[in-house]
Amino acid sequence: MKRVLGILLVIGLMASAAVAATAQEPLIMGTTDRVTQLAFANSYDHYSWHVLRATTDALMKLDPVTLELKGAIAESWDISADGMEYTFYIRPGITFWDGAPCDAAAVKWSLDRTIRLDGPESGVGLIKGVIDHIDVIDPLTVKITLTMPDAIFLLRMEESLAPALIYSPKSTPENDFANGVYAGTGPYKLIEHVPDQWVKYEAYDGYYGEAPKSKFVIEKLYSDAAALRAAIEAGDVDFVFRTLSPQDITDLANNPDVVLKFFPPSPGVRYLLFNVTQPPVDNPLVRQAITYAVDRGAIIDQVFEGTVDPIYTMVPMVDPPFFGAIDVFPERDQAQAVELLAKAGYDADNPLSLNLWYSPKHYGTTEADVATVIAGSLEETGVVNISIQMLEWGAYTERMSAGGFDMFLLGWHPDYLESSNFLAPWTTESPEGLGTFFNEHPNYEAYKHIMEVATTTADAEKRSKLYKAIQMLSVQDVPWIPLWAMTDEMVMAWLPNVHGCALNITMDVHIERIWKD
Amino acid sequence: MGGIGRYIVQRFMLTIPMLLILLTLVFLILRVMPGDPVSAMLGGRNISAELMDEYRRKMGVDRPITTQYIEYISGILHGDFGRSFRTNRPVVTELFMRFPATLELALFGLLFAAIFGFGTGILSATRVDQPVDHIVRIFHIGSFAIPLFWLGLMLQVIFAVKLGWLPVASRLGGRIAFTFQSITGFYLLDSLLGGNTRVIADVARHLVLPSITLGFAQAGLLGRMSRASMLEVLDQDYVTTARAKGLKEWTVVMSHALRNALIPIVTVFGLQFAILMGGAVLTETVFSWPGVASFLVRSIEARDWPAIQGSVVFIAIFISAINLIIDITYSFIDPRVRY
Repeated sequence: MKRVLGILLVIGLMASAAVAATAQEPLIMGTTDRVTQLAFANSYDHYSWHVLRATTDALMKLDPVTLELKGAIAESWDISADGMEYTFYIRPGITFWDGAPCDAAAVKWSLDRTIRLDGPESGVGLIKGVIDHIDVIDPLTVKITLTMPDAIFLLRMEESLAPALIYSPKSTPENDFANGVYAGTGPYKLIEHVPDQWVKYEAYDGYYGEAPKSKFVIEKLYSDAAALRAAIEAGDVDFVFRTLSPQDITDLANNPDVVLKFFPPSPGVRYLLFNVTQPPVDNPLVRQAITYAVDRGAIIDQVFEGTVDPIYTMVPMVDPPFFGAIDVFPERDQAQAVELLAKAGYDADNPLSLNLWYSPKHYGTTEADVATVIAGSLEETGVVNISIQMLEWGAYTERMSAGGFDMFLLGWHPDYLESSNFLAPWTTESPEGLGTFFNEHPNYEAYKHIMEVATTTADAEKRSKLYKAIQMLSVQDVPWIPLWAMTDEMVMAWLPNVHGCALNITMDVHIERIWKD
Repeated sequence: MGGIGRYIVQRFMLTIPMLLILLTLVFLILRVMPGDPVSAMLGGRNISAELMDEYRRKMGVDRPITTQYIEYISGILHGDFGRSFRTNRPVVTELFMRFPATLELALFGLLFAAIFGFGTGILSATRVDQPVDHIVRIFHIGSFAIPLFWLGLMLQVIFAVKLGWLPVASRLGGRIAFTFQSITGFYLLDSLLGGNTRVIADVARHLVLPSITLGFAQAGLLGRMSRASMLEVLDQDYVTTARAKGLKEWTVVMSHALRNALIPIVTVFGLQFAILMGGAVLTETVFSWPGVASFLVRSIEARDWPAIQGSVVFIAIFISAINLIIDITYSFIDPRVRY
């Protein structure tokens, strides 16, 4: 028996030593995200876009520190006086990792291809309607003509939008979404994506920008927050990004072997919405009363253990890239809520009854608690009865778009980093799709007019004033109640020998800036 | 065709209507449930209702159910299970990409269950009513009572986080994974073929905790069955005769009693396989194991109709095949069974 144990011990030690000695030391990231498709014309999720962005660039990018727009593949650009033509001058000498040149023809080819394919699971609509046609002027000059003046067109050409990314005509099939079949400009080459397991990268030596700090990177995909937390605690990964639970964040913050840091503010927002045609919330007094009754502090403390931040407007307070953010929604005031409800005809003998709808898993595991706390805070007024209702995500959004909700919870991550993307979707762009039916509100035309002027006004100061006007109107009309910013998603945890971990308002981790000793 | 060949064909023919009924039920349930793939994928985004309808048309989910059904069955008859809405890859490709992971885990889960179950069962039966028997019986009962996901999490915390002996989750460590290239999808087999000891060790280390978690409840059941079956056999006259001949107890148990005790245990083994696949859903989730079961869970969340239908049929075929193998195994362990 002793001999058997001895042999087993030796085998175990040899195996451990063998595992410890590695030929290559890739940087290892852990995440709970998943790739849906690595397709420029058929993907629309955070992680798929992250992989695409790590492996190729767009014409424009945001400076990681100042957040100012600057050229990426485009070295410079001109805008015609009428705002209808954008001429981009391509940086000379850029190549894709398949060796093909990244020139004006490649830019035109890839943007045209993305717009033409426009898959059902894509964000192509964010650039498609704006671009009329693209012309190659000379090998390093490309002109994009718009369908209408668009003040945020340069932001639409920024790398945060995967449909704006540029890829090689040599390696990418012309008429197929081609999941994972492409070549980009770098900084990394995509080596391998094994679904539900990992994504591997190797630095592209021909990258035109700053060389990545780590030559090899592997992103390991974990199934849930518990496994992700355990992976960083056990040292199986070098750093983790998205998504730890509030409890895991609190515990890791107290773990001396792990560095954990928040990078606020978050561009992700959570809010209550109302179908403004649905009684009893079709009455603006009711909606206004709820703005006073809801208790953000209780949500933040009781559900999120202080890992998120309260918000009082939809637009993130980061200028640039967001203009005109202004806190407009009130702090909690139960007396004011009761008074408004009294004006609307509700009191303790005739309480207001309404539903609060939520979806249990789409926003993590905390949603049921959030609904319970919100319902509790509204019922504390003594004149409100809340019936909490739950539907799984597919059924939830179907019912929402059919107008089947009165009051409901939703969340938002921006499509592009501009204030209009935090104001227009629920009011003027997709009011039915997003369940507010604000297109039937008396002030709809006013909102629409203001948004149209704002999005075609190049002057940032004027645009900022128009966005402020919309926010101030929203306090009276209450199509939404901003609740909290998802600061818990702006968290990274890493081992002490890892450096360069940082996030900014783009909410994307730039793996090319991270390395370990 | 011999008896066993005819039996296999008969079983295969019976499987076809079973699969058709299952497929039809899953197909109908998915379409009756509220929420379609477009709502699940694009709902909550800045997309107009008109555009959503256009995407429904593009994906073909707005057509009459009968049209969709006829087209789907026709596709299956040609070996085409459709494309996953979520990943845009053929469902068959997705399943075959993940099946080796599930099978590898199931085999090692069963191996653990068999070794631990039989071992403790026989130990208990040969020391009936002694303290060791009581301890083992408590363990057997306890193994049903412990929720699988809780056991997995506890094993992770103790052996990976606290002791650092084993990895937390997934099939390979990041450092090894970076250079690893799979050929068959069975990582242990691939690593053995490659002959690299550190890869073999890494794969084996990653298999330990998920296999124990998956096999734990099965081990308890097999242990109880083994004990009961062995006790019954040990009471038989031929065992008494063997003992009277002066054979060692070990020889009596292993050579004379065990084979006869195995028959009811093997039956349970087969039935338990379906439960094992249910356990695989939880185990694969806890250990980030990229198998068919976790793919099915993600597909359900995304209302990925072709992927759900394909996964269910695939799992059903798998379980049917295992049960067929178990039935055939009877003929080898029980001379009375002939096909």
